[in-house]
Amino acid sequence: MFSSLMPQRKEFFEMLAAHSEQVVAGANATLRLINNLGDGKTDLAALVKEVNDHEETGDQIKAKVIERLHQSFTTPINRDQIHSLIDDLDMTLNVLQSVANAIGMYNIKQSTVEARELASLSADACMRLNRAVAALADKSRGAETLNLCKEVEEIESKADKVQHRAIAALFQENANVWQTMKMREFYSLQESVLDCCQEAAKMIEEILIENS
Amino acid sequence: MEGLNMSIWTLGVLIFVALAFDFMNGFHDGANSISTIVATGALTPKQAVLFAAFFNFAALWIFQLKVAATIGKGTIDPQFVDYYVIFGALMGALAWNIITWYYGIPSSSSHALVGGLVGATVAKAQSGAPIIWEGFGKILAFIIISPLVGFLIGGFLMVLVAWIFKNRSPYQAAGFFKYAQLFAAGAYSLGHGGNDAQKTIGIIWLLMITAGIATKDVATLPMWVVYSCYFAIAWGTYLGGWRIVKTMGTKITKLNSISGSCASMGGAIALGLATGAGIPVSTTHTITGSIIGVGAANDVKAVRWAITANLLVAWVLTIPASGLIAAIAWWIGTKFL
Amino acid sequence: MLPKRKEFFDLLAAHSERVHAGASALQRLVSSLGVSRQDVAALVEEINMNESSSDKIKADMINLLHKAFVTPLNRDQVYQLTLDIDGIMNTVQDVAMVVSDYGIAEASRASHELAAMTVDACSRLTRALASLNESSRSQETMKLCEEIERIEEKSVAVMYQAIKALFDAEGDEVAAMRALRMQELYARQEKVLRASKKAAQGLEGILLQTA
Repeated sequence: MFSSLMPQRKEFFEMLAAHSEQVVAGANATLRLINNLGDGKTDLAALVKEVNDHEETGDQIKAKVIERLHQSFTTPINRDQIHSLIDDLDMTLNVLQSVANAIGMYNIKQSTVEARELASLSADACMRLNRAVAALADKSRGAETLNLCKEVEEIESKADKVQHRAIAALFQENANVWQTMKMREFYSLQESVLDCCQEAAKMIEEILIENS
Repeated sequence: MEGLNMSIWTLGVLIFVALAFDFMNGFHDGANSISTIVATGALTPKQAVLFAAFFNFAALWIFQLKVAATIGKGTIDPQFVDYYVIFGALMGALAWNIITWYYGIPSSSSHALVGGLVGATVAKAQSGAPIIWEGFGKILAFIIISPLVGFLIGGFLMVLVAWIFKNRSPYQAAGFFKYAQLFAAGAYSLGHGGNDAQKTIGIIWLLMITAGIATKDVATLPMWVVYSCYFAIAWGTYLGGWRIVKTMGTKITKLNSISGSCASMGGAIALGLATGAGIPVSTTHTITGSIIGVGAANDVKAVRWAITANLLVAWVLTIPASGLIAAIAWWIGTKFL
Repeated sequence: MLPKRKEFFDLLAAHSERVHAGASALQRLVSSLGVSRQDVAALVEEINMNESSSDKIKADMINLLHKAFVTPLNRDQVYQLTLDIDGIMNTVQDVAMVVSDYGIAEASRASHELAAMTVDACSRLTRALASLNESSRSQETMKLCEEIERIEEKSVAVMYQAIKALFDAEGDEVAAMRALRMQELYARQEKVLRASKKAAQGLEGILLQTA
């Protein structure tokens, strides 16, 4: 009865949702980047910049969340859970940025089927993450949100398999050593995006369990 | 009166047992207020215990002896009381306290005392006639009212504090609450000493009326009784330390310096009101109500309602159970003493 | 039963000092690469010693957390922070291991830079932990944590440029081997900074809580 009289501070949910939108936008830009790699028509630099911009915006939102945590006596969910979730989301965006920049770093000219597959899996996972975060404030949608988290975890294990397949392909005979080295790193970065998504999904699950 | 035939020695022993009961009360839960102070490091355990003991004693100068009067002459008709009744009452209360202590239930020693007194008297009179329903009814009603008032005040304080400190993090507010919790704990210790020491004063007063040493007039009550009761509870608090506090502070809901301050202050205000009105209430129930109120404000799920429900059962059982034991103790007393 | 507040902070401070010492040994190790094999071996040993001493402090802290009735900070967070600090030490040791396992005998400018950044981050972490005991200095602690995070971001850019240089001009087998080695070294060095960032974030979390 008293909890409804406390300051509510719903803006934390809004900020978390805003951050996860940046994650989705970053993942989609990365997907386009990888899909259009080597077609010669797409402005790749512009897409990398787009990812970097989303990361920048994400950083700003994260800084604001932490600042507000310091300026709020009450929080709608546990303070450390908000902090962990924003860290996880931000980490996802950081790794997406690393993926986008790795194309230049490893001087990758062509994408592969597996790279495209991994990119679309991460876009899928990020989209579900975004929906889960957006529904976090609404307790009646707990089951739905929990389901989204489970799906993110399923996507992650799918990505694991794709990565194995991709690496096996790299080590076939007659492989070019440079191509193998580069792509092995690249795939592992791509897989890290999904690991981060999984971390964030687990955090959301923890929040849901504690607040249901 | 039968009691007059008893020796001064018996009177002395009963007074001693009453004081021991008082001491146990302090030992048991006089330190309830200081758990968060120790936990947050505002005072060392030794300082905190001394602090609580001091304020338990200081209540002597704050409150009038209204609670003592309710126990001493407002619950049962002193005419029916003899040494056996007092013996039964104290034994019933002590036994119930030991049982609840053994099972770790924070029940009320005050209600055990009242239950014991009523139980032994009714056993002797073989009827409910000696019960003064005006006083006893008030005590019964406040079994529900006092935790409720504690709950409301505690929760209200928490909400108030949350709005006052709306734009600061608890970490930043902690500096203020390091001092606020001292104030709250001091106030709570005053309330505890005021209400609980007076119950023993009331019992001894009753004894003295029985023995013909004092009358229903408060002026006839020797001051050493008052001093020794307050001293016993303070000393018990000092020795009982912060051991038992753990249950209260951590089992029902987690407390930090902020919620701890609100809970103690809520308990203090509720106890102060009851003591001022001369109603013997359970300090344990009151602070528990306040802790739950604070917990409910912070987060309803932070309150372990299952434990709370267990507590409620123990509370309701206290008076009948201690009354029954007291009646048996009275019967044994009349046979063997 | 009641440890003094100070014990916790002393342990945290001692722990971060070990890590700082490890980081500075790592910096000297990078400087000695290709200069003196004996020095490199001695410095690897020095790092290993710091690592085992860090393990011991971690064990002491866990022990203290177990027997303490009250802790000056949230128990889980102190535990997590200890793990994070220990994590930095482990990544420092990993770098030393990569140096010997991969037979790295040269240090690039980027490697020097990353090593210097590691020392910067660890010295800030040490200072941040030293001011943790006083809540009046929380602003300072916060600022140090933010700086650590900034350093980590810069280190990513350094690593990026260095790895890009390795892969831009694809060459012969020797170049490929070098790329393989050095990329691993840079990546490991960057991981130290990432671990420092994680500890800094944990510290930020602590500043949000009350005991």
